[in-house]
Amino acid sequence: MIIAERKPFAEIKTAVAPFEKILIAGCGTCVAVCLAGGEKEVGLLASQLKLAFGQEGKHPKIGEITVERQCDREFIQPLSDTVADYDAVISTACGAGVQFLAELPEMKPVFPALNTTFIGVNEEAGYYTERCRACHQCYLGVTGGICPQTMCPKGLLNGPCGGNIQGKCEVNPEKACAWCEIYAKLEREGRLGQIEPILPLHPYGRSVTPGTVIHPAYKRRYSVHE
Amino acid sequence: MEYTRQLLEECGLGAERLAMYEIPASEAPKWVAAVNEMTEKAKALGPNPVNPRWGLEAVVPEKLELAVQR
Repeated sequence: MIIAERKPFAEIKTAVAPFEKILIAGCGTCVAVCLAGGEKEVGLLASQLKLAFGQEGKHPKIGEITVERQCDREFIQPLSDTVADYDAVISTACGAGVQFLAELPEMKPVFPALNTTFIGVNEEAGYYTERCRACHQCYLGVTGGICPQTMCPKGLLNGPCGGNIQGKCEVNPEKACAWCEIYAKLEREGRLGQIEPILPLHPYGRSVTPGTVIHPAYKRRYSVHE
Repeated sequence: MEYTRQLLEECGLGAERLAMYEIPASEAPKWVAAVNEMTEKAKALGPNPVNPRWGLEAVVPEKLELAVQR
């Protein structure tokens, strides 16, 4: 899922300080799981803003609403009407959600409340680690389920650099070298031979932003021809 | 607890307005000491800087709509 962290409170407060009616729009999917932008965090931010502005003698109207997903038009469409009563919107979604919300017709100025960090996993409650760089070409089948693009700080595709110290990474000696782990895993599974062929240069050309994916079943609908 | 203190600090109310004490049911003097300590702390900090007449009720559009429908 997408992992995000809340921005420093002062940054959010400064961004919305000129507005009188502020709607905080939460997102109930990834950022709710990583405790950054779900319904509960929307409530916390609303209370903090009221307390902070209250001390300055300002009492802006602060509304709260949380939708299932801000990256899905069917869920955010109804917000077009809701924002009619507000001057500004704070979105606690990831960067994708914030942009999709801001594209809505009749939308008021949108401000992000989060810094989107990476695609990762829920190791334990409140503890998230990165696993995927969305690099467009997945080699996890070859590399024993350990991603050399993400887990190796240098993103090396064909074996380790010369810097690993007894299986530890030279960039961060507290972490294991991704390629040492890949080697050990494949050795255990008896399929070391599969990393012998050199992998081609990574298709960075396809990583040019913004990316687009059209499902094969929808190619005719969007007039995309092979 | 620590996180809530951080949230209070961020919004300018100050982390010291919130504390947690662990007191066994049989230790009444400890409870008294804790209450006195917090009371002194609250007096030293002064009144809540947020206007008390101003409520903190959330404006929740979804729920308001439901209330109107009923």
